[in-house]
Order: sequence, then C-alpha cells, then structure tokens
Amino acid sequence: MLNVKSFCSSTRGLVTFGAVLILAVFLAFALGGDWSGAVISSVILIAFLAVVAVGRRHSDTLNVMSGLGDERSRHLYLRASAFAGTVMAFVIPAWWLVTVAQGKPNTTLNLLAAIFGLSFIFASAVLARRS
Amino acid sequence: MRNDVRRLRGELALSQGALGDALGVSRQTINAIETGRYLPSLPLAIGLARYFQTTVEELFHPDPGDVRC
Repeated sequence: MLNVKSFCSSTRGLVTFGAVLILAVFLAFALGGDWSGAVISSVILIAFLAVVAVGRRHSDTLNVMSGLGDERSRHLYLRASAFAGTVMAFVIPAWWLVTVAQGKPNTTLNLLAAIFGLSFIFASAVLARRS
Repeated sequence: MRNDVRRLRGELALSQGALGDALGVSRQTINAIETGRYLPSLPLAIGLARYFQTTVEELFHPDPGDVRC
C-alpha cells in the first residue's frame, strides 16, 4: 500500500508533483491559446525541477528547497515555507490596501487574503488537535 | 545548547559522514548539531546518545535559562 507521507518525501514524489505542476501550467497556457507561452513555461519548470532534483545531492540549499532529505532538511524546508508565508501575509493585504487607496479595490487580492486567512485558521485548528 | 558530539566522535576517529550514515542523517546535519546550529529531534538525540553509549543528558548541556526546572 502506498505510504503518502514517505511518497511525498521521496524523489519520486518530488518528480510526480513537478510533472503535475508542469502539465497544469502547459494545459492552462494551451487552453488560453498561447502555445509559445506553454512551451516556454514548461521548459523553465522542467529546468528548475531538474536543477533541484539532481543538484540536491551536491547543494545543501537545493536539498532544503526540495523538501526531501533528513530531518534537518525537512525542518529547514518548513521554516523557509513559514517565512515565505509570512512575507505573503504582509504583501497581499498591503497590495490590496494600495488598490483600495487608488479607488479600485482588487477582488483577486480580496480572495487571496481570504483564502490565506482561512487556510491559516484551518491549519492552526487541525495542528492544535493533532499535536 | 552545547554538546559533546564532536569530542566523542573524535575519540572514535569517526568522520561526520560516517556518523551521519550510521544515524541515517547527512554529514551537514551532524556538522550543524556539533556547531550548535541545529537542535536534533528527540529520536535523533536518543540515537546519538545510544551510539556513543551515553545518555541524552550527558551528551547535551543546556545553557543557563534553557531549562526551567
């Protein structure tokens, strides 16, 4: 039986998620009729995935970026993700406030802020019960 | 949090890589533990203590204020 946790922290998992992401980006551009954008985006993503997947054996930074490796790598990956999330927690509301001040509130930013806030509340509730 | 990992590893003439292999972690992780940049999880701390045939409390020495009781 497939162990989801070990699959997610394996090279196979990394390549699978990368392939799904590349396919989704390619299809989105293709459905929009932008074939050159589809190819360029896919090539960039494939190159990035290859650098992370292959380079992680030689670079501690790439190893952390992959989210794989031992407990220290995964710990640092979580901290890096938390840092990036914290940055977005300031950037999205600040950007939205700028659009409000300009007299044209951006509804996409409203939605992103709401999703971010609800995700945080949901994760806090689940983690508080489990840990 | 200080620890005796480097000293004990030196006494056994082990490389960081060899110790990492024995415990299932990377050489960088052993280095980070030795230099105090990374606090290992409890299972890894116990694994280190068992490897050196000592206890976690004898291997890790908290700084004043780290432990309340």
